[in-house]
Amino acid sequence: MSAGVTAEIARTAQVLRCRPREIDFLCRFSAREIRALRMAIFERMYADHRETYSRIASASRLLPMKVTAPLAQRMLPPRVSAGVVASLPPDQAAAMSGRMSVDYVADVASFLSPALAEPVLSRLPVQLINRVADVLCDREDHDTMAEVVVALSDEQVVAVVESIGDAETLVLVALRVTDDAALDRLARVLPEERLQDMVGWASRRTALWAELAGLLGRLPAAQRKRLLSGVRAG
Amino acid sequence: MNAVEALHEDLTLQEAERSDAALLVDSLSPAEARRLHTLLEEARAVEAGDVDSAVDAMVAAIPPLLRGRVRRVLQRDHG
Repeated sequence: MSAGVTAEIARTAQVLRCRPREIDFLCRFSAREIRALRMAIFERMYADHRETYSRIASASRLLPMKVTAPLAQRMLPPRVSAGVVASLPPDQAAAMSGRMSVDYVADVASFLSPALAEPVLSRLPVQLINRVADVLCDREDHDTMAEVVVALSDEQVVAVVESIGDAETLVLVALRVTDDAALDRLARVLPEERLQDMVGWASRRTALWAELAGLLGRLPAAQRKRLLSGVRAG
Repeated sequence: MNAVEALHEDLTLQEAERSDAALLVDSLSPAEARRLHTLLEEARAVEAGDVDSAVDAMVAAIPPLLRGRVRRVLQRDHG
């Protein structure tokens, strides 16, 4: 099973609150197909409580942020908080994130879909994004990192990649990016040197060759040729 | 209604942009579709309980002076 399929089954299981093995019959589908199913399930469950999330978001505006942020962190499970975040004006959600613990923000991030996360995460300062990335790295939560990276701005992606020193982590995250357009964007914005580091690292590990070939195969031809020529030259 | 039809309805898969998900659901065996639909229903029920509990906990934790206004906003559609 590819890393992308494994990641999508794990993410779908998280949304469905079950163990991945309970839905491992999905492994015969592509990561893209499982991703589409996950998004449909996520949207269904978010829609169930959209009104309540909006009410919580409205109520939070009645209180000073210095009260709301710690209260939400204490009282809302990260899964519920993710729904509320998606209902807040992005600037307010970003400001509130800055008053919460980095661990809690990382927990909430794991329950956000990229579409809902993008308006909020793209407004967070790079320092906070880097601290959240550090927490996710420490947890070896490459699945969430791959989803968070998709929701970041180009500048934030570059900053996060600069803060992650090792090529192994970057490869493990890249293998779990299941949205082809997002993968293409990452390949375009990442510094050439880091990309070559990643491909070089993976190409020296035979166990990853099939994964690497699959990853490169999802990139547009020009990107693929550029990366491979860099490896040959190296 | 069979499980595949129920999944289509619950996930509103008739929309064109969800065709990948619709094709996946159509490819499931009846047993797989039933399993997925059951998991979805269970997850929705648990999520509803979590959201209700979170609202109650938030109201209870709000300082008494502000609780009335916040409760009115929260309970327009809750409880």
